[in-house]
Amino acid sequence: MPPPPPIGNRVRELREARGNVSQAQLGEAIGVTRHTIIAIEQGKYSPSLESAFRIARFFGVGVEDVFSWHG
Amino acid sequence: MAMVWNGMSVREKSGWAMGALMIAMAAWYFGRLGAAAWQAGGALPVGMLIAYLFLTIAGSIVVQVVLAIANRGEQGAPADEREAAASMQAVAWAGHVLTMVIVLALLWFVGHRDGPLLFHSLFAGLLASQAVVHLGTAWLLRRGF
Repeated sequence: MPPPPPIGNRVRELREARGNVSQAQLGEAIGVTRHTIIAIEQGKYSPSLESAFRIARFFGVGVEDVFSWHG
Repeated sequence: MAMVWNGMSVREKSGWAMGALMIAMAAWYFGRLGAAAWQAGGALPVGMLIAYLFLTIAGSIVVQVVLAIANRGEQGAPADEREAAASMQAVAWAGHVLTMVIVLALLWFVGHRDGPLLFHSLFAGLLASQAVVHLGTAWLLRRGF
Protein backbone atom coordinates (compact mmCIF):
# COMPACT_ATOMS: atom_id res chain seq x y z
CA MET A 1 0.00 0.00 0.00
CA PRO A 2 1.43 3.42 -0.92
CA PRO A 3 1.30 6.08 1.78
CA PRO A 4 -1.87 8.15 1.53
CA PRO A 5 -1.42 11.57 -0.08
CA PRO A 6 -0.63 14.25 2.54
CA ILE A 7 -3.93 15.98 1.89
CA GLY A 8 -6.66 16.11 4.50
CA ASN A 9 -10.23 17.18 3.92
CA ARG A 10 -13.37 18.14 5.79
CA VAL A 11 -15.85 16.89 3.20
CA ARG A 12 -17.66 14.57 5.58
CA GLU A 13 -17.79 17.23 8.29
CA LEU A 14 -19.18 19.81 5.85
CA ARG A 15 -21.74 17.35 4.52
CA GLU A 16 -23.00 16.64 7.98
CA ALA A 17 -23.00 20.34 8.89
CA ARG A 18 -25.18 21.05 5.85
CA GLY A 19 -28.05 18.91 7.03
CA ASN A 20 -26.55 15.57 6.16
CA VAL A 21 -26.15 16.05 2.44
CA SER A 22 -25.70 12.52 1.13
CA GLN A 23 -22.58 11.35 -0.65
CA ALA A 24 -24.71 10.65 -3.70
CA GLN A 25 -26.16 14.19 -3.70
CA LEU A 26 -22.72 15.75 -3.38
CA GLY A 27 -21.34 13.46 -6.09
CA GLU A 28 -24.16 14.34 -8.44
CA ALA A 29 -23.68 18.06 -7.77
CA ILE A 30 -20.00 18.02 -8.65
CA GLY A 31 -20.10 15.38 -11.38
CA VAL A 32 -18.53 12.32 -9.77
CA THR A 33 -19.92 9.07 -8.40
CA ARG A 34 -20.89 8.42 -4.81
CA HIS A 35 -17.93 6.03 -4.61
CA THR A 36 -15.52 8.80 -5.52
CA ILE A 37 -16.90 10.98 -2.71
CA ILE A 38 -16.40 8.02 -0.35
CA ALA A 39 -12.80 7.61 -1.59
CA ILE A 40 -12.15 11.35 -1.09
CA GLU A 41 -13.53 11.26 2.45
CA GLN A 42 -11.44 8.21 3.29
CA GLY A 43 -8.31 9.90 1.92
CA LYS A 44 -7.94 7.22 -0.77
CA TYR A 45 -8.21 9.68 -3.63
CA SER A 46 -7.19 13.30 -4.10
CA PRO A 47 -9.68 15.01 -6.42
CA SER A 48 -8.68 17.10 -9.39
CA LEU A 49 -8.35 20.83 -8.87
CA GLU A 50 -11.62 21.33 -10.72
CA SER A 51 -13.50 18.94 -8.45
CA ALA A 52 -11.87 20.48 -5.38
CA PHE A 53 -13.22 23.88 -6.44
CA ARG A 54 -16.63 22.40 -7.22
CA ILE A 55 -16.81 20.81 -3.77
CA ALA A 56 -15.79 24.09 -2.11
CA ARG A 57 -18.34 26.05 -4.15
CA PHE A 58 -21.03 23.51 -3.29
CA PHE A 59 -20.48 24.22 0.41
CA GLY A 60 -19.98 27.94 -0.17
CA VAL A 61 -16.49 27.99 1.30
CA GLY A 62 -12.95 28.37 0.01
CA VAL A 63 -10.86 25.42 -1.20
CA GLU A 64 -8.54 25.77 1.79
CA ASP A 65 -11.54 25.45 4.09
CA VAL A 66 -12.16 22.01 2.62
CA PHE A 67 -8.68 20.70 1.84
CA SER A 68 -5.49 21.04 3.83
CA TRP A 69 -1.88 20.02 3.25
CA HIS A 70 -0.33 17.80 5.90
CA GLY A 71 3.12 17.38 4.32
CA MET B 1 -17.66 -10.70 1.42
CA ALA B 2 -21.16 -9.78 0.22
CA MET B 3 -20.84 -6.46 2.04
CA VAL B 4 -17.60 -5.68 0.24
CA TRP B 5 -19.15 -6.60 -3.12
CA ASN B 6 -22.23 -4.47 -2.45
CA GLY B 7 -20.04 -1.50 -1.52
CA MET B 8 -18.24 -1.54 -4.85
CA SER B 9 -19.03 0.74 -7.76
CA VAL B 10 -20.31 -0.98 -10.87
CA ARG B 11 -17.03 -0.22 -12.63
CA GLU B 12 -15.06 -1.97 -9.90
CA LYS B 13 -17.41 -4.95 -9.95
CA SER B 14 -17.05 -5.08 -13.72
CA GLY B 15 -13.25 -5.00 -13.37
CA TRP B 16 -13.13 -7.93 -10.97
CA ALA B 17 -15.73 -9.93 -12.90
CA MET B 18 -14.20 -9.34 -16.33
CA GLY B 19 -10.69 -9.98 -14.99
CA ALA B 20 -11.84 -13.28 -13.50
CA LEU B 21 -13.52 -14.16 -16.80
CA MET B 22 -10.34 -13.38 -18.76
CA ILE B 23 -8.22 -15.53 -16.44
CA ALA B 24 -10.75 -18.37 -16.49
CA MET B 25 -10.96 -18.30 -20.28
CA ALA B 26 -7.18 -18.16 -20.65
CA ALA B 27 -6.84 -21.12 -18.27
CA TRP B 28 -9.49 -22.99 -20.29
CA TYR B 29 -7.84 -22.20 -23.62
CA PHE B 30 -4.28 -23.07 -22.66
CA GLY B 31 -5.47 -25.93 -20.46
CA ARG B 32 -7.24 -27.50 -23.44
CA LEU B 33 -4.22 -27.00 -25.65
CA GLY B 34 -1.95 -28.35 -22.92
CA ALA B 35 1.69 -28.91 -23.65
CA ALA B 36 0.97 -28.93 -27.39
CA ALA B 37 0.76 -25.15 -27.34
CA TRP B 38 4.37 -24.83 -26.24
CA GLN B 39 5.93 -27.57 -28.39
CA ALA B 40 7.87 -26.71 -31.49
CA GLY B 41 6.09 -27.03 -34.80
CA GLY B 42 2.57 -27.51 -33.45
CA ALA B 43 -0.36 -26.59 -35.68
CA LEU B 44 -2.50 -23.57 -34.90
CA PRO B 45 -5.76 -24.60 -33.18
CA VAL B 46 -8.17 -22.54 -35.28
CA GLY B 47 -11.25 -24.30 -33.88
CA MET B 48 -10.13 -23.64 -30.32
CA LEU B 49 -9.51 -20.01 -31.13
CA ILE B 50 -13.00 -19.58 -32.53
CA ALA B 51 -14.45 -21.35 -29.47
CA TYR B 52 -12.40 -19.13 -27.19
CA LEU B 53 -13.59 -15.96 -28.90
CA PHE B 54 -17.22 -17.09 -28.90
CA LEU B 55 -17.19 -18.10 -25.22
CA THR B 56 -15.35 -14.96 -24.14
CA ILE B 57 -17.77 -12.66 -25.98
CA ALA B 58 -20.76 -14.61 -24.64
CA GLY B 59 -19.31 -14.55 -21.12
CA SER B 60 -18.68 -10.80 -21.33
CA ILE B 61 -22.25 -10.16 -22.43
CA VAL B 62 -23.58 -12.27 -19.54
CA VAL B 63 -21.36 -10.44 -17.03
CA GLN B 64 -22.43 -7.00 -18.28
CA VAL B 65 -26.13 -7.91 -18.40
CA VAL B 66 -26.03 -9.32 -14.85
CA LEU B 67 -24.22 -6.19 -13.61
CA ALA B 68 -26.68 -3.94 -15.43
CA ILE B 69 -29.67 -5.71 -13.84
CA ALA B 70 -28.07 -5.68 -10.38
CA ASN B 71 -26.96 -2.03 -10.60
CA ARG B 72 -29.76 -0.22 -12.38
CA GLY B 73 -29.05 3.44 -12.96
CA GLU B 74 -25.32 3.11 -12.40
CA GLN B 75 -24.41 0.89 -15.36
CA GLY B 76 -23.74 2.84 -18.53
CA ALA B 77 -22.93 6.09 -16.77
CA PRO B 78 -19.72 7.68 -18.05
CA ALA B 79 -16.59 7.15 -15.98
CA ASP B 80 -15.84 9.97 -13.57
CA GLU B 81 -12.34 11.40 -13.07
CA ARG B 82 -11.25 8.76 -10.52
CA GLU B 83 -12.52 5.85 -12.61
CA ALA B 84 -10.97 7.27 -15.78
CA ALA B 85 -7.62 7.80 -14.03
CA ALA B 86 -7.65 4.24 -12.65
CA SER B 87 -8.49 2.87 -16.07
CA MET B 88 -5.72 4.87 -17.75
CA GLN B 89 -3.15 3.62 -15.23
CA ALA B 90 -4.27 0.02 -15.73
CA VAL B 91 -4.07 0.41 -19.51
CA ALA B 92 -0.51 1.72 -19.10
CA TRP B 93 0.41 -1.35 -17.02
CA ALA B 94 -1.19 -3.60 -19.64
CA GLY B 95 0.90 -1.89 -22.30
CA HIS B 96 4.06 -2.72 -20.36
CA VAL B 97 2.98 -6.35 -20.00
CA LEU B 98 2.17 -6.65 -23.69
CA THR B 99 5.42 -4.97 -24.73
CA MET B 100 7.47 -7.29 -22.52
CA VAL B 101 5.75 -10.40 -23.87
CA ILE B 102 6.13 -9.24 -27.49
CA VAL B 103 9.84 -8.52 -27.07
CA LEU B 104 10.49 -11.86 -25.35
CA ALA B 105 8.41 -13.77 -27.93
CA LEU B 106 10.22 -12.10 -30.84
CA LEU B 107 13.62 -12.77 -29.29
CA TRP B 108 12.64 -16.41 -28.84
CA PHE B 109 11.41 -16.53 -32.44
CA VAL B 110 14.72 -15.16 -33.73
CA GLY B 111 16.51 -18.03 -32.04
CA HIS B 112 14.08 -20.87 -32.74
CA ARG B 113 12.03 -19.86 -35.81
CA ASP B 114 8.87 -21.38 -34.38
CA GLY B 115 5.88 -19.54 -35.81
CA PRO B 116 3.13 -21.37 -33.88
CA LEU B 117 4.95 -20.79 -30.60
CA LEU B 118 5.28 -17.12 -31.50
CA PHE B 119 1.54 -17.04 -32.15
CA HIS B 120 0.70 -18.70 -28.82
CA SER B 121 3.06 -16.40 -26.94
CA LEU B 122 1.58 -13.26 -28.48
CA PHE B 123 -1.94 -14.55 -27.87
CA ALA B 124 -1.05 -15.25 -24.22
CA GLY B 125 0.34 -11.72 -24.00
CA LEU B 126 -2.91 -10.28 -25.32
CA LEU B 127 -4.95 -12.27 -22.81
CA ALA B 128 -2.64 -11.23 -19.98
CA SER B 129 -2.81 -7.57 -20.94
CA GLN B 130 -6.62 -7.70 -21.05
CA ALA B 131 -6.70 -9.27 -17.60
CA VAL B 132 -4.33 -6.56 -16.33
CA VAL B 133 -6.60 -3.81 -17.68
CA HIS B 134 -9.66 -5.18 -15.86
CA LEU B 135 -8.02 -6.34 -12.63
CA GLY B 136 -5.71 -3.32 -12.47
CA THR B 137 -8.64 -0.91 -12.74
CA ALA B 138 -10.58 -2.75 -10.04
CA TRP B 139 -7.53 -2.98 -7.77
CA LEU B 140 -6.77 0.73 -8.06
CA LEU B 141 -10.38 1.64 -7.33
CA ARG B 142 -10.33 -0.61 -4.26
CA ARG B 143 -6.92 0.42 -2.92
CA GLY B 144 -7.05 4.11 -3.78
CA PHE B 145 -4.36 6.08 -5.51
